[in-house]
Amino acid sequence: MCYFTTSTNIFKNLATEEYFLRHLKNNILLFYCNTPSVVVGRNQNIFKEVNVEFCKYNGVHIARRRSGGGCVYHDLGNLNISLITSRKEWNKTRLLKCIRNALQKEFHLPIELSERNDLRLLDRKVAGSAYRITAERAYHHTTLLVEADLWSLEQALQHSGKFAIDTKATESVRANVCNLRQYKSSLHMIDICRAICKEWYLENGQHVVPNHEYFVWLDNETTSHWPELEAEYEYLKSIQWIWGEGPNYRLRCRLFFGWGYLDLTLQVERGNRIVGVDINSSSGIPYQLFESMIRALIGVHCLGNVLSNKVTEMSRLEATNYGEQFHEIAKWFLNNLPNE
Amino acid sequence: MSLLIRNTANIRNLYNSLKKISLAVYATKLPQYNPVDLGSITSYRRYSIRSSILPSPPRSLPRSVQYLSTQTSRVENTRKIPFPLADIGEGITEVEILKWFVKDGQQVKQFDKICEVQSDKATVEITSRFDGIVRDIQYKQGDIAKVGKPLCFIESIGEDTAANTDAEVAAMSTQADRKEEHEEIPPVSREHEKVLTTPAVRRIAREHKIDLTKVKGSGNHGRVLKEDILAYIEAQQSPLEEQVKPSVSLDSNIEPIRGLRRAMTKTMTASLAVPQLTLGEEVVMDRLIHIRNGLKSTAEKLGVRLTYMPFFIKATSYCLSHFPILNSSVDQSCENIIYHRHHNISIAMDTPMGLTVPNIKHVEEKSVLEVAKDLQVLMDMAESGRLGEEQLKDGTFSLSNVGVISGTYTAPVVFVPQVAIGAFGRTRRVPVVNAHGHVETAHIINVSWSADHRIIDGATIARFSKMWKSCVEEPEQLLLHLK
Repeated sequence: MCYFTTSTNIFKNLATEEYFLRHLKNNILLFYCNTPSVVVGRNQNIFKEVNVEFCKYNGVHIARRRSGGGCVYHDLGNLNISLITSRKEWNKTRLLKCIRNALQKEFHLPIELSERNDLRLLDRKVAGSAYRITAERAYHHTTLLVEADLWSLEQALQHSGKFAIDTKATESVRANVCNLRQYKSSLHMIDICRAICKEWYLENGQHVVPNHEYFVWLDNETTSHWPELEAEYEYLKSIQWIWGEGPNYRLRCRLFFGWGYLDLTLQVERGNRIVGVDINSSSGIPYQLFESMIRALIGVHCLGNVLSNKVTEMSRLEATNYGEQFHEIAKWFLNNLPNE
Repeated sequence: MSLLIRNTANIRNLYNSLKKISLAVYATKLPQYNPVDLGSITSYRRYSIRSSILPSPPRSLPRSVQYLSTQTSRVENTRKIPFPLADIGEGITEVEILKWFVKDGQQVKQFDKICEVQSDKATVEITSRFDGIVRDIQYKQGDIAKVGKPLCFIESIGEDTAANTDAEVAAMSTQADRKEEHEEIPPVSREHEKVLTTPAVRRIAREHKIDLTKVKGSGNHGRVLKEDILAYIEAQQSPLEEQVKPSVSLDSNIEPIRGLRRAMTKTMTASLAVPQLTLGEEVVMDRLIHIRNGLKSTAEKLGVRLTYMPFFIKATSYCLSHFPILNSSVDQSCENIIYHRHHNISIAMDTPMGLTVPNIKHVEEKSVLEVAKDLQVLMDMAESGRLGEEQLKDGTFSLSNVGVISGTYTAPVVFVPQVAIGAFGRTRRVPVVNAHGHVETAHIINVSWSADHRIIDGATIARFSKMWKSCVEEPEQLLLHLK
């Protein structure tokens, strides 16, 4: 069964995939497209992989998926394909081979399968893969670059300039990419989708009716009839999952103000809680005030608005002389760290 | 719920009373429990284990109730079954633990999530195979777990109710479980396999499809040791190989590869897997020749034949103390470098039986004369074929003086598991250009070093070679470092 979702919300689509994994029993081929967003792997650190500032200013969503691997950029010119099967039938290359055969037969594109389990068109990567295995079911999903905005891709998938991160998170393996459209400009997303569905049916020995719509449009915009999907969608959208599920990391940043300079190091645990703070400063602010700021910040979630509230509160109570400076520090937190 | 609590209280009372009364008295003295009811209570308990944590059986039961206690202890038998990380497939051998969903002492049902792991783009959810209580979690979040090793132990109360749908996982895990159970309670569960061995030996037997009952055990109580099974495999393979005779025409002579040549074939094939880097150097020998000629008579009075090899060996050892990475080994999976403390320099020797590489042990502690003596002893042993395992094992660096026979330029092959080798060509008298720009003659020897390029880079071997060259060209330098 092949489905194409109507929603372009990354969180809804990821939730749909998870729902199909857990609650259905047959093999499913799922297609979806998303509005511009960046999706990091299960065990990655967002600051290290994504340029958070660029994403914020350009309205690019940041999401975390449940399967492992590296960081990818999605937009409406990028087709996501997911093959959900039972665990026994899980195979690392089955979906990629199917896509490759489909593209070769219909459009004569010279695509090859590389050893890292991605698809390459003349040495440039066009599709990557990631897997998730549970007790009885498993999925393999991949994203195929058809006509994505490669400039935005490059800008978004860069290390956040302002922060230096020290962590054991999974690192993405960078590769040169290209769009399928660059090779053959007459390609459309729907045609590719149809070709892959047809190939899938052929490989499975199912009867194919030519000129028939091979897949079914799946409306997952309104999730009210599927409470599990709704729950999964809320969870994947939550700050706790996106920012809190990466491994422990140490974040170091330099804050430059008119009155001085601050070198801030935050040690953050899984769950996005700060467990250690270290501040070095060249301004005239006495160190006790920084110590009280450190005490205020420990145990707090590493979120912009939370940290700025804590700092303003602390400065109101203790650092009345330096109110303005701490206000600027709070504003910096609000602008640069992810907000609730 | 109250029925349950009442029953639990009753059972506790039952145990308390069992402590005091003997068997015969017990049978008569409990009017409220018929023998039939006793059975129903115990069977009731087997199903109600999920919601209550039971007291452990009292340890000091009077001897007269031993008979009854074995029966009741069968119901209450808590075994800690290790829950190994099942084989995920696709050649994955280790995974990173991302998140634990359970804690020590938490009760789990079959198919409850235990933890989530990740391996190279694949995240896997590990679910429990049986009901029980989680104990002894072996890894923390972020650790690397190996496939086949236990993730945690599950204390399963009552019989093993594992009814797994996944066939391959079941086959591997139950096999592992049975073997683990054997290790934990060896005297009791001997009815499955009558052979006494360790799980490692069983694994070898499984891999080679050997029936353990056929292997002769040489440990205590007929225990089959690793050596026994390896010997059995060797014995099995050799007659097979002797039977294989390629069909060749009458003009060719078939000679099976045996003994030393066979060992050489094996090592060289293994060496081919190692990427090798070779560096050649020309070394001026004049001063060394002069020194050796001066020392030759003294050495002969002490009964030692002094050639250039002892000087080369000692120079190598001195240089190795400055480049310890060249005196190391890489393990099979190329994960660890093992640095050896002693310099056991292996010398390649051509014997009537083939190429052997015995080594001189602890060269860093020996003087040039002692090295020369050892070398002589080794050469005598090699010629008469008396080289034993003691001389052949634990070599850390190799030297080959093939130039004694002939040859100028060589590209020696690293002798795994060592990481470097040096070979010398013939000493020749050639014209060279000296510092003033005049042509003069000098004795030159060509030295070639080969190293394992997985851990040794060109710069290291080049620096080593440079230092070695200076040791040989100006041997007085070694005087400064005499120990």
